[in-house]
Amino acid sequence: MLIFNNKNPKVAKCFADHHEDVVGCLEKFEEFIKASFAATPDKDKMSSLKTAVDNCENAADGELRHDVDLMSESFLPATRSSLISIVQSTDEVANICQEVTRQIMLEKIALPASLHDDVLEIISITKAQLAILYVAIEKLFNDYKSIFNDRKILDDIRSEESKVDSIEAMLHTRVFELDLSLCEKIYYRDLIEDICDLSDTIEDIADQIQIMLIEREA
Amino acid sequence: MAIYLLLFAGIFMGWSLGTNDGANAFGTAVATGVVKYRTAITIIAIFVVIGAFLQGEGNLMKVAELATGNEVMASEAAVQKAVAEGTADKLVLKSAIKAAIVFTCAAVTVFIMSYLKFPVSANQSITGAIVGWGLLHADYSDPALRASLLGQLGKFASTWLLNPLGAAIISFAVIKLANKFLIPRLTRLSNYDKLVKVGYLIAGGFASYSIGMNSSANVTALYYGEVIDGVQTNLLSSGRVAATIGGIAIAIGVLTYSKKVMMTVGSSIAPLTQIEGFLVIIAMALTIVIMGNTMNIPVSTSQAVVGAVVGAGLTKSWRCVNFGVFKNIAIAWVSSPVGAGLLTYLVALATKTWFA
Repeated sequence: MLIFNNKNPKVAKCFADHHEDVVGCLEKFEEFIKASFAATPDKDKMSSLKTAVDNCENAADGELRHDVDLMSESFLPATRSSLISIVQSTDEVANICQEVTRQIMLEKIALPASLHDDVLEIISITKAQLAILYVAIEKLFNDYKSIFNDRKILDDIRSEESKVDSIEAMLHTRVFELDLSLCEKIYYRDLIEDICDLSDTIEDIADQIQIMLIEREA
Repeated sequence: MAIYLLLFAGIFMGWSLGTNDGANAFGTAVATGVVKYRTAITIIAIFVVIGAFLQGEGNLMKVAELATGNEVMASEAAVQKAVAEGTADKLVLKSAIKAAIVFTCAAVTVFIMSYLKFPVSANQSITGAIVGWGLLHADYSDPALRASLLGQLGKFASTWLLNPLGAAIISFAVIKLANKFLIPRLTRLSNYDKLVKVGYLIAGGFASYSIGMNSSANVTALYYGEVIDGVQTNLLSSGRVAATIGGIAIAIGVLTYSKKVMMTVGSSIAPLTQIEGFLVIIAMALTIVIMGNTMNIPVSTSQAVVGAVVGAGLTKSWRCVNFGVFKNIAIAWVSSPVGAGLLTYLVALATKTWFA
């Protein structure tokens, strides 16, 4: 029974651990992309970074399962459902990182050099966005009143996503201006979209937190 | 002993009250999964019986008083005459049959109105049924009796207005106080959830107590009669025992058949936040306890809930309130007593010669 159990601080800690694994995954992902953008990509380095991304993703999966188990007797059902949805969406960030690294390795994709800086900029913004999300989730657990009364932090997450959207649109245009076959253009565009999905997913989590707060508004 | 079978009409009324009123105590909590159904019905059953045992007697006496004025129950003079003539047994039988008729007519009215999806109140139906019987059997030509009955009826009718209005005012005040002093102190998500859970458990227990105190009179009041000169004048001679039996009947209704209604009521109050949800129930219970302690008259718990929800809406803006819900209350004010009164009058007419 909720009023007698003491699992809630453990859930908050498990959320933080999971988030740390996802952040680690995104950092390794960034290193992997940078390695793939080298003039002569080091296949061994890329392979070991891909393994690092896989390991972080596996660790995140483990924490996710632990989170769900812990929540089975914690919080009210509505809160539990919202929190599980938030942690699952956060886990999706790690899944996307793993999927993109796997695709680049297996399909030996080499994005044109003219796109590199902007792709790295997207990843950098996404990292900043994930860091803000971490603060928002921490506040949700431990400083509920502040995020309930001031939701600017959620707007900040959305504003980072808007920046990614602008770069994505610009990259989309530039890909189709390159002297490539239509097939290559579509291929690169899809890869860039996959990388931008990281930011979209984080924005979705901000929306889920907003909905959770609205449901509790007096 | 067979005469005690007549109690079943009242117990059936109590059972149906239990199937409905349990929802007012824990509907929202059960529908949103905050409290498990089994936990809810256990708490309701226990607190309904405690409420009936400790404070149910007051309302019971008031209903009995109205019933006596309307000849559903025998007057003191009639009882003394029967005791003197040694016909008390016959009097007890007649009183029990009249009580069973009145309860059955009220219960049938509630059933038909509910089936037709018409707003209805069990409390107001019983009042109507008692008056319906009195219209045929009571001697309203006596100015003293007429004045006394009009006073009693006025008191009953005034609670119909005071009940939802009082619930709205109390709910408004409780939610304003909570918004000012309680909610700003919630710093952790887990504290919010704990408050909601504990709040629903306390509110549900308190509401169940108030239902036992309020509604047990609607189950057994008409079977109550004092012992005069060592002679029993009705089926039940102890007000406390009568109220407790009423509470048990309501508890059985809750334990056996309340889930469906609980889910329906819970969903219909969904626009409230979880904290407002249990504050509304506390406001409803407070209203009923205050009405019971000041006027000793059973009131409609459903109408108290509606009033409390309106009060909760008014804490935000009058625009948030659908004042159309008051239309349903107004319809119930008319339909419940008139429907039950008419039906009882017709039954009284059909059985007039036997009771003359």
